[in-house]
Amino acid sequence: MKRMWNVAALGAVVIIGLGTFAIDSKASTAEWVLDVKTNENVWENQKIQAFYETEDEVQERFEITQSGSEVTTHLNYVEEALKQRERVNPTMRKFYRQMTDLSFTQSLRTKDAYVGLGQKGNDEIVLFRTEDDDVTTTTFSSDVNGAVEVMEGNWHGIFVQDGRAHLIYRDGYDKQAATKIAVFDEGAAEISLEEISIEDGFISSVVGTSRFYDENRMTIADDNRFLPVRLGTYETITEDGQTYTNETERFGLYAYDMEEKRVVELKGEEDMWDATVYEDQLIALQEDGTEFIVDLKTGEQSTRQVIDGSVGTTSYVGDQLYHIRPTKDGAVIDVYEGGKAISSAVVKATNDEAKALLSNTEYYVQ
Amino acid sequence: MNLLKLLGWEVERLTKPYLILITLLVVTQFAWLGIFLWSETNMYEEIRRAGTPDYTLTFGNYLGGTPFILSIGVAVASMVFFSFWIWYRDFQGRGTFMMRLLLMPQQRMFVFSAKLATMILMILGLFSVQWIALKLQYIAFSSWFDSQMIPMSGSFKQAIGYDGALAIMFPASLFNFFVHQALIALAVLFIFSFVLIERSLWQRTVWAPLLALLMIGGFIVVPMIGFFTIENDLFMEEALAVFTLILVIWFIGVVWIGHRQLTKKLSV
Repeated sequence: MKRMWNVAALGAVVIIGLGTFAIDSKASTAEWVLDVKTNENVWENQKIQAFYETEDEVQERFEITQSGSEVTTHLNYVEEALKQRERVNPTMRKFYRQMTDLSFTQSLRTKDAYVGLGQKGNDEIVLFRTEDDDVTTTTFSSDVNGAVEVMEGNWHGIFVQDGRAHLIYRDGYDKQAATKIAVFDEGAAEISLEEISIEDGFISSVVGTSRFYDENRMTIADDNRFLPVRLGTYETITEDGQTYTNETERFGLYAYDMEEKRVVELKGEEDMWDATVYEDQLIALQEDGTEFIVDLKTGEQSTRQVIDGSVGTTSYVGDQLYHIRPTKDGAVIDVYEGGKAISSAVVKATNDEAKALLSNTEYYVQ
Repeated sequence: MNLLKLLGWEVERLTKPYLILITLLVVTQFAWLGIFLWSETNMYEEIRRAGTPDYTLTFGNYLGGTPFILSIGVAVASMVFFSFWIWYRDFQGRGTFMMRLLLMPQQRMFVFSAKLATMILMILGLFSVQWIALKLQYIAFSSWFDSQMIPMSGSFKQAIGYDGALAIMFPASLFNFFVHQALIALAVLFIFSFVLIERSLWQRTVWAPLLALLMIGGFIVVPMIGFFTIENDLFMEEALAVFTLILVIWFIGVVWIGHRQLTKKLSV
């Protein structure tokens, strides 16, 4: 009996310690709701992400929809895995599974499909695309003319034109590198290479190309004349007698003209608040609340006033602009399409725990 | 002897070294806390005299100190040592204690279960003591610096979350905590299996420890190699399902090995 006192004492210490830990590890009980004022259709598949963060506290994140809210931080392993599963639809799972086996993968979304390109070691280039519920792949081995140069190059983005996948890459290093386009002919299993000249710089990325799993992808038409790109430039730095070349991003909006085979400047070094490409339109929101639009088939530019007053947090989903303004009880979200307001909704904190987080919470739409 | 009595017996036999270990840990950590508070206060006062000090302290600064990290390391090493010692101690001397234990009229797996339960209780006890000690240390830390008007930032939760080892030991989700405890129990079971295989072979070959190590090593490494080979092609929920399956196989395997060695193969 005396021996059991040791076990009982140890058990008591365990319970007290675990109880202390359990109190500290309690998940947030803050609750929010999305109250749609006009045009509910816009919000059918939409989620608002609320981020609470201060210097002293652990970050809390919430996902808010019309049916309520849920905490998305401090999930256990099973919840985390199930949440990831929810995010990806079955066809995209096959697509993303292709990406895991390959290096330097880049992908983009067109009106009808997702297209991806990657390389397997230094042996082959794999081009894959979704076709209805399936994923088809075409392989270009190192024997194919131009394949080795492409595999050894620095990849900077892909696009689709005339049904064929194109890759922009740099061949060489620093200022000596040449910017080139590789065109992949899946039918003939051939690659053709073309050099393009860019004054004092290089194409650093193609807008809409991604290396990661993204839920909200830009849809880019495959028959545009102008391809929105980002430019990089070389900077020479001398330090302690040694000279280095640094690569930096060049501010502004640029596009590659596929007919004239050159990069054109769409807008100079001005502050863009947000930008997106939707099919054949480049839409950029400026600091004063106007949208700058470029027709990517003709190059025609226009502007329109969208947001009156100061611009809050914005995000584009497709060609819809979501403008979020924090309020005393949460946030007001206005949705614009084609420059016109099409819907409005309010995010509200519904209990005391959520109200306590309001002053340090930011909201994003995905 | 029933399981509960065996458990009480095992716990009683380990009480003295266990209490020494806990005392050592707590004294080391609180001594380090005292030194830390004293040295940081002195340094801050010197900087304040010279000008406006421009830094804030966090609890993480204390947790990142070598004595604290060493104390955690010693605790982990001690538990690994206890897991071996809880068996080997019974094989010492002539007319070994293990022989008397195995000749007792009870199921042999009770001996295995009692030792496993003892180790799990000891490990949970260490976790609990550490959790209580950490809270007390944080209260002392923040009260002291508040009283000295030295700026500090970061909550207790934040400091634990940002510390690599503590974030694993005390994850933000209670479910994950129990998963980690299950993994620790599995590690203890691997040690038990090693001991029982070695004790089953020791009278037949001088290579008994090496053979036991190879067998257990193979049992761990082969599924892991298989898992790492396919891991890249799996999404998170698929990797979790495969890893859970491997864990279940390991659990069943080590318990079966323990049962087989104890009931049929052990030499005393």
